[in-house]
Amino acid sequence: MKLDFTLNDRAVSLEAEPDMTLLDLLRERLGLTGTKKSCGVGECGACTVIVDGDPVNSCLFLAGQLPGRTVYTVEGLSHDGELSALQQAFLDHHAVQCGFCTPGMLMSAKALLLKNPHPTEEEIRRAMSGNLCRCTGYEAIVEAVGAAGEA
Amino acid sequence: MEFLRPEGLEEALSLLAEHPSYTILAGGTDVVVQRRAGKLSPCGYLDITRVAELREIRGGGTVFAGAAVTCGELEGSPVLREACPLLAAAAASVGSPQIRSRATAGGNAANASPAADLVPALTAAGAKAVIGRRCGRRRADIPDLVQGPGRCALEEGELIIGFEIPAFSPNTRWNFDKIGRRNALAISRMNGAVCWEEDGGRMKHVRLCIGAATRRPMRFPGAEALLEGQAPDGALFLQAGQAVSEEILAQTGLRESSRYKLPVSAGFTARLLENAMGRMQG
Amino acid sequence: MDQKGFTRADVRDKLTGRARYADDLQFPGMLYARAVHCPHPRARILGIDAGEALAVPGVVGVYTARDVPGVNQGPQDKPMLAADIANSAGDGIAVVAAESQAAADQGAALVKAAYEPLPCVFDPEEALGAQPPVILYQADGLTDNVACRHRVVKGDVEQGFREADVVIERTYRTQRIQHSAIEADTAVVVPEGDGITVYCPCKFPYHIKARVAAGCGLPQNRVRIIQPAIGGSFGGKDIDIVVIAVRAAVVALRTGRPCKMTWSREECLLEGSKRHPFRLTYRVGAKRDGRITAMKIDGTADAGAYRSRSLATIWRAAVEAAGPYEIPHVDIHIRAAFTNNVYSDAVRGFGSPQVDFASESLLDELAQELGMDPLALRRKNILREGGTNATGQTMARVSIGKCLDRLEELFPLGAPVVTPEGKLRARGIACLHRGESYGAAARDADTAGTDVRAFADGSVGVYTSISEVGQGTHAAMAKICADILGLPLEQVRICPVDTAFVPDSGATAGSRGTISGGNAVRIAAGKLRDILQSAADGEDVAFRDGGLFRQNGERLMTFREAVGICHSRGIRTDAAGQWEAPRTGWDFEKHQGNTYYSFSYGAAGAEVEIDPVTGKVEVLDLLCLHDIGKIVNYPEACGQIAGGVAMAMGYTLTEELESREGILKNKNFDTYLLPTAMDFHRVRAVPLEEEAAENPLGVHGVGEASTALVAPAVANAIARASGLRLRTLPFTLERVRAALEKEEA
Repeated sequence: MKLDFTLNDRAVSLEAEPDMTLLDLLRERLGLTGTKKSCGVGECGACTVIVDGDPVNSCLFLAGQLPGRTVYTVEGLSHDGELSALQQAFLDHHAVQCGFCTPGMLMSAKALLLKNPHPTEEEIRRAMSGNLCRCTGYEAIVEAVGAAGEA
Repeated sequence: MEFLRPEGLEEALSLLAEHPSYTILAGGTDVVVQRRAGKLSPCGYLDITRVAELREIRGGGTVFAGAAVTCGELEGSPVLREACPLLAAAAASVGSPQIRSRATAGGNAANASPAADLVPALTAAGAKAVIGRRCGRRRADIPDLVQGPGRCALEEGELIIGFEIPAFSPNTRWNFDKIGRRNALAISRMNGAVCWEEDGGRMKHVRLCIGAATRRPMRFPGAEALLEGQAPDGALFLQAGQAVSEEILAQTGLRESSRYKLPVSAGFTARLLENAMGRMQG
Repeated sequence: MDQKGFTRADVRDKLTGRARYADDLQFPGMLYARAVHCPHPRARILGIDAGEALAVPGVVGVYTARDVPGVNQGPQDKPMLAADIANSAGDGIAVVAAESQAAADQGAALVKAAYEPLPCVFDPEEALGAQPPVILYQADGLTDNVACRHRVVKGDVEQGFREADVVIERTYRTQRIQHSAIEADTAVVVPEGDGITVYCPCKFPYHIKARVAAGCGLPQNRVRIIQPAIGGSFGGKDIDIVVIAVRAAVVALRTGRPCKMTWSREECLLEGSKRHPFRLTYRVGAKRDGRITAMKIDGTADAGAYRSRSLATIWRAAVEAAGPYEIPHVDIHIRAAFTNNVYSDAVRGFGSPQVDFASESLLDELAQELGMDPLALRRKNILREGGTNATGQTMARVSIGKCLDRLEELFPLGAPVVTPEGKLRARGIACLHRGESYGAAARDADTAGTDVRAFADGSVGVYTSISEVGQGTHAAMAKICADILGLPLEQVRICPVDTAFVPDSGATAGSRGTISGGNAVRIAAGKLRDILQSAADGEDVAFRDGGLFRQNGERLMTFREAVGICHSRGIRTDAAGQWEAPRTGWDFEKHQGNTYYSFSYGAAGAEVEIDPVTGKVEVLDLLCLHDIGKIVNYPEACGQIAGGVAMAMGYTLTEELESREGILKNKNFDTYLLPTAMDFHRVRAVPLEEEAAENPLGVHGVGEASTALVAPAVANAIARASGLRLRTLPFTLERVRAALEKEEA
């Protein structure tokens, strides 16, 4: 099936099986391995990307639903090697340990800040609640998102 | 693999009539999970998310929420928060932000999980499902539609189009609650929704639905009858809770999970009733 | 104390998606593999029919134990592929290799195997009983199902009970959990020349190298391990990775093509190693004034089907089981049983979380029995400088008293708690001691090698096989090196871990990464500084600010110039550092010894709220403080504590692998429940610098201790809130409700 959509501000057109997941499409067809695979059932959020402004688990999103959509992945966050304010906040607040959940965390945080630029701590925790992190205990992540919101 | 993407409702219903074996796909949060577990092997997909009629929320005396409206949209809809905050609250409790971005009202009913969070809310709100087929429509009460684990009473070629919900009045009292093992990403260990009209200090038209306790979310006529026409009262709520617990036992018999669910359902129901609120507080 | 810390070099790539983890790697011609798993908890494999699988387009081969070129299974070890008998459900019996993952998956589903189910044992007590249904390793000459045992004896425990005014006995149980790194276990094996290169996340590269070489029948110099970015370890990514790497290597060696094997999340849960469940029975005697006179501990752990690191786990559990207390009479006996459950291995904390839950719950139970304040009871019995612990070791640098002082200051147990209507709330505390590094149970000395090399432009590379699993140890090592050489941090780089170049630094385990790796760096960097000093021709110089400075403050030369002078004189500017930890020892006849050369101390307080209607427990406030000696990078130390606490929160409240007849019910993260961001309310991670640790850097490990305090602190808070004493982890809705009903009845 022919898929035309926007990925990280660029138009993409490719032929792909419609029943493959967006996650596999990104990682295997487009070489964008920043989006991570972990549970495959929408429970861990490591594969979170933003589709039309909403955070989604790309492991549950079938490619056939892509045409006309606007997708952002972690690779779309920084430009010209400069970290975005959100990424910088993660760095400054030591919110990264093993880093495997980080791309998904960033995309959930980005989706939150797009809709709610100055979230409360409760709103942040809720927005990040679909992303499991085994390293940090979330504290530093919640602080980082809060700081990015204040910036 | 054929992947059909109708834009209009009649087109979708025609395609479904032609391909009744295809898997109806909305948010994919159940379909893709079941596919991975080997419980579903689609031979084709009918993607209904591009059908405008299925994506609408319309206000009025009767609110309409399309089957392909996501939980996130239900949660954030100003129309729904005004007219049926109960459904918005239930939607807000589903899974995680990522799941709520995708999971739909129709999917929640069609998947017919005993722990579905929207089903008790729709039931208690007195919603009717609007079901379509090529050149035909019918309406069904939610309990008649959602029949048991994985069993949704749709005929071949039928599609849930949406839900019609009577708008709450200023006298409507309602509540939704759920017990989860964690505070997000939690499959309900028990959930419940309640609605009544407060009329001269008395409870009228009580609808109480508890989920994840029996094979499907169900209403409890015995408990409702206890409450009907009475003034809200803590002791009465405890009685209603006890009636719910007894009915669950009658429905399920003693099972491994009964040890938890039977006593908890009584207290849970009582608290659900106790904490029921007015429309504007939602 | 510098609380600002510094940024780790690995973080930038992790934030941009550029960091490459094993599953992100692609090689030309790469094949994909999927394992076929035995569905029975114990069965003889009668035959494997790969016919249908081989017919799947894209499948290139199906391999079984017969195809493993080297050692498939050491005695009681987990087999690379089960050959004759599979001893637990989920054991791999075959590997399907294909051109795509989808084809490999399809092929694996079509492999047919015939099994003869064999008698099983699942309950560790039954396995160790007088008449076990089966002795699993009779063929290896074993006469019982004991995987390992450890005993600690001090004084005469019966005498101690005779001296006691109060004696209580309690039994505690802990559950099976999994480390659950978000990155699934993966290895990519690339055939290169006459050997193989294995790209894999792991915590002990030289162990992987040795085991993979053995499995492949290759000399170790033909097996190269390269670590990509590692998505968490938590005690895992060791034997599981060996198994995966050998399976992929079988494909690579047979086909001559690269092969990637990634476990699905379901496979991680099904086949991956788990934390040992324990049953611990404590008998404790005390004087009326609270002085503990005797403690007798009998424990059984479930090792599961294979041996793995049960010995180190049981050893640590036994050594630490009596808690940070000076007790005159102690008798501890813990055994691990072979069963047909999925195998147990190290999980962040080894045996500490299990015994600390029991011993610290016990202390509160004893306090209640004596009518004493729990903190006062602890103060009465804690180890003091120069005291002897349960194993007869004379303790130095003991800071448990200071930890309790700080706990009392930051988290007063008696502080008023405002309880909302319909809920129960209270505070509880716990404290611990924890041995560091390998300890006396390890066969090998606790040593770590590191090389440091200065390049012509003045930049410096550090070569270590201590693994950066997310804990920030590489950044700490870079900082230690930079400080010794007087260089800005950016001028020092920790080189990628590749066994072709890095020396063996041992395991990144036992919270030893920064202790052992850091001290090896300290030694190597010191030697390099001595070498570069020669450029000053005998002048006394200080290394700072990127240069060599005379005593009068004048800069003699830059660091780079010193390197250049050495090179011009034919002097190599690299140095090897080898850290060897102080020796430990154990007397197996007296059951006494110097167990760990260093102990760290900590304490925690928890405030909980119980919903009596649902049984739900919320931990509203959690303070966890650990004396970690010298703090290298403060925010990262906080992160280690907060992370350990988070893992422990799952252990305490939601994580539990349930099995029926050896079959695990939890298939994925939808039923194996890690805590989410919404399950934490307030967590305070407090690293303390009370006592410098027993090594020249003065650093303690910080990775594991924080996993051990949450469960007992929460249990004690629940007891104070409700009168309920929960002795079985985790505190699920059902357990709490059942306890409440029992209380009501």
